[in-house]
Amino acid sequence: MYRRNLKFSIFKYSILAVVLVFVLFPLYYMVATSFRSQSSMYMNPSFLPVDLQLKNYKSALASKDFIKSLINSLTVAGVATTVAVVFSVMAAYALTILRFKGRDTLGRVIVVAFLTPGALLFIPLAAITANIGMSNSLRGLILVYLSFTVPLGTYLLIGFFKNLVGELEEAARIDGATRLQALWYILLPLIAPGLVSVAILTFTAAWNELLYSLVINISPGVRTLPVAILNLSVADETPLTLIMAYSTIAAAPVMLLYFVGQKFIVEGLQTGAVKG
Amino acid sequence: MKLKISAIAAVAFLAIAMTPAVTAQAATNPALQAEVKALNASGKSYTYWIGLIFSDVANQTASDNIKKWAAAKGIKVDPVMVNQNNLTANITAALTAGTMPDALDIGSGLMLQLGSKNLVNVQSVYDELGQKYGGWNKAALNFNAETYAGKGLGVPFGINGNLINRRLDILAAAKQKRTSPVTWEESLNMAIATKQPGAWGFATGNVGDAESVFGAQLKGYGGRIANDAGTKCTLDTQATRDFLALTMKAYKAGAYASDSVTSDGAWDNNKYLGGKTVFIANPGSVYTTLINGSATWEKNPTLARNTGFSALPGGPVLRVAPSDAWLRAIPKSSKYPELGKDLIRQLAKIGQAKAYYAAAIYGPVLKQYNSFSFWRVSVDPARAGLFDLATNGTSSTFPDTNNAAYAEFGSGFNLSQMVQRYLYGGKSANETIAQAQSTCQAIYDKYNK
Repeated sequence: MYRRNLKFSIFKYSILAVVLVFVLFPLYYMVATSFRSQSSMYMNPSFLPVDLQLKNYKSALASKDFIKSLINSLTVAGVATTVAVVFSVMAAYALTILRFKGRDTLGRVIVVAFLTPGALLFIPLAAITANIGMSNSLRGLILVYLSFTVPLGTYLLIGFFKNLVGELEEAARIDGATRLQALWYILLPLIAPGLVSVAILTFTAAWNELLYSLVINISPGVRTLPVAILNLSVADETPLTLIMAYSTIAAAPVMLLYFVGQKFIVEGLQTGAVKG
Repeated sequence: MKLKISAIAAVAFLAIAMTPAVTAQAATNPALQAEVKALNASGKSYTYWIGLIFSDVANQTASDNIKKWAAAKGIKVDPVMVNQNNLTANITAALTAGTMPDALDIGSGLMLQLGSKNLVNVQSVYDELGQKYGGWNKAALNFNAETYAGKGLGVPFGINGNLINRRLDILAAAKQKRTSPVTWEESLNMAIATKQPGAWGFATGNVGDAESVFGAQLKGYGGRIANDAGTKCTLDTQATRDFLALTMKAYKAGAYASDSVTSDGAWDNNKYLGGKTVFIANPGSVYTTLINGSATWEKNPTLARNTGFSALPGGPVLRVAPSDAWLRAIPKSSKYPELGKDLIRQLAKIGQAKAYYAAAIYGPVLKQYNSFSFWRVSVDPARAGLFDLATNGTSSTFPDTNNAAYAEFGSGFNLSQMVQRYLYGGKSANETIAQAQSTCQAIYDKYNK
């Protein structure tokens, strides 16, 4: 019995090791390359971290454009996440707790909005932001990001709200709480893991977004980090090691968020997938 | 004697009187003045999209020149540096959203695709500048041909195109000649003789470098994309098969690098700068990097000295030196077309152009620019190559007709894909040519309904 278990464990961990290598190697290569010079990378190709130096990081941190784009990304992703969480809670609450005509259809429309590829929407969204005078601004970009972060958040939170016992809200109402009070004091504490999960996922989606940012915000002062990284490649010149340094810095906040909130994310995705 | 002095004085007077006439005309142009007033009244800035090119100094020079012009005009300006690599996406969105700039740098292919529906006709400025600066160089004249579909839609400001960079030291060690290869076959044999894998450092992926080199090779073997009328694709020929045979010879000899198919635009530059290949095609950025260094590469004067530059080789039928241009254009959506024309005139001035060309990797468009010292081989061999391209090069599409269908065929990397199917996909020459011919004809039919 013990031997069988041992064999199974070895098999299981071997598979896991292969998957880990597959998933972590790009990350490792990004970080390792970011500490090399371009000449070393091409003249002494190696997957091992050799000829290490900090030049790329110094260049990145000395670049005003990079710092500006970092601040822009933090602003846009931070505000979009906060607003998305608030709107998603209200939308998910309405779609699960309240009874009204067309509720199911509305729920499906939200899923469709969430699943529509950005490549189909970037032109209409660029036109809308221009028409409301919000092109080339962080406000415009935040508004655009809500178009996919709110459906994503709503979709995930619907699962959490469905998990709650319906009587909880009713009991609070009988005790004299308003809907908002019931939501705030009774329901939200119960779906706190869901809120964390939604916040992390929407922040990541907004943080990584490239296409909308590229076409809506042309001016250098309002560029976000993914666009700043893209713009490192000019004409037929691609400073790969510098790009890797920018990318490592850009990936750090998201990796940290995932590390801290991994339990909630797994729970959030499972609940959203099962109950949504 | 008196008569002679009087005659010289008269000529000098006429010359002086006529030169500022063009500028004065701009200054007193009522339409221009009205636009200045309207722009200032709106409280908005005049927007110009500068196509980011290699060398930050060149981009900054362009931006500074535009700001100086705006200051002189008394208007606010917003020169925005837009990455050339993303220009298509930016323009696609801006056209629909109505957020096109007032003027912009644009590649000839994209200009053709935008066409007269979206761009102001600036032929008068083209003619005026040609007259003022001693005429246009040959490569810039291609944009004035009556048969050119984009005639009048943009004013060229920089000629670009590929030069062959080759490692003289490695070739010498392999007992190969020092002079430049005349044919593609010869250059391939030289690369093979070095016994260095991937010595023929040309890209084979879906990338502009691959498409342009394959185009030059195809034409060298007598191939054509389409007929003279620019309506029917003519890829299914023996010449295309001969061209494919050249690529197969290179592939079987290991002359293409194993990662050539997954290349991006910088792949070949980095290979060369890293000393991993013998031949590449490059517009001058590699030499500039070797001499000045870049954000990621140290200076390498030794490699610079060991590098030979030459025009692209030819084939058994033809030798082409494809040159293309970047142009300045004014979208029809701009409320300030006269300001745009005035800016184009301003940026063409000798002083402005000299500062720009000194940092950019473009060949000169106007003949009066030809006297700048950096075009000399002794000063800068790569810029000398660009000068040669500007003054002697053929159009980027020669002998094909330059039209929107040709541009779309190229921007879809269809030649590269034809080669990839043959070299890596296991398709026969007949199969891959048939597929390319079919795709090509569909594109040409779209434009010739």
